[in-house]
Amino acid sequence: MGDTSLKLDRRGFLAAGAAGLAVAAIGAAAPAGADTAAKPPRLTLHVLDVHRGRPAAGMRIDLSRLDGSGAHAVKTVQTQANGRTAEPVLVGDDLVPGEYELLLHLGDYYAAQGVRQSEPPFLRQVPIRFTVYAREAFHIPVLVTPWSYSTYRGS
Amino acid sequence: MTTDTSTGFSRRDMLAAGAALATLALAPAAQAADGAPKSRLTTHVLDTYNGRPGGGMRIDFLKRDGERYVLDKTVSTNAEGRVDTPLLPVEGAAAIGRYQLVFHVAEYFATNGAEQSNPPFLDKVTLEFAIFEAEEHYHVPLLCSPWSYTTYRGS
Repeated sequence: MGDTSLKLDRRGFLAAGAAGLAVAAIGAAAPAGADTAAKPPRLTLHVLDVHRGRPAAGMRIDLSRLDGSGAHAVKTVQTQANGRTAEPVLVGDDLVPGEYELLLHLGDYYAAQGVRQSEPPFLRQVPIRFTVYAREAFHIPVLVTPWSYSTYRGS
Repeated sequence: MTTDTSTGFSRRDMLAAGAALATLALAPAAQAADGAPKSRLTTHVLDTYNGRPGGGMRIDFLKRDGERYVLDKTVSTNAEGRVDTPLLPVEGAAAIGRYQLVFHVAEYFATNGAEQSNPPFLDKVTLEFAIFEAEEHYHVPLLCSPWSYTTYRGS
């Protein structure tokens, strides 16, 4: 059966649809590692304020590299209204494998938000130390309240 | 009261023993005989990769002294993921101050069946916090997998 024009015949259409679904399913089932390995190397973060139920805007975060001789300041970034930085924290060749620390100035953030904290704040600054073990995309989400935080390697 | 004549235990004895065991399981470690906590600060490691307490994990406990954190003691979690040694003895010096708990997570997962990256994404997890009330109890647990961790002020 077939329509000799450019339109797909019914069998071709069904085959294309099945192939499309298969590709989508494989993509969805791919482990996070495969997905992050496919993206260009970079370091990004995302801070969610789950005390106020919104992204954490205007939070200051210091990035340092850690090695045998201690912590070495790399840069300081600030989150935008969406809880992310305007640009990736590190991109491409700047993402040198090794251990890093993101230091979140959580006490200052909640003070600026007018959220009552203990004196001194239970969590004044939050160090998140992790290792970039390959030139991949590393995404570090952090969910925060004045009394808790959670983080993980995301994508 | 019925008695099992073969073992000599009465049903009441069995129930009492069972209740005692249950209390022991629920009670935080480092408790005095009257149930009062012996430490101002307790922690608890939950291994969310294996779905069980993180037993046998090394933890460094540091106190802030001026601009630096100084090692006070290194402990290891028991089979329940708790610490038997009081971190901040109740009868000791005032607890108000800033502290760090450093959990040797990579070392733990290397011997607890988890496949980690090389080098591990999380090596040592550092929690930094302040104790701001002299008479209160602080429970700071860690839920962790090789790729994530969560902490909060518990009770």
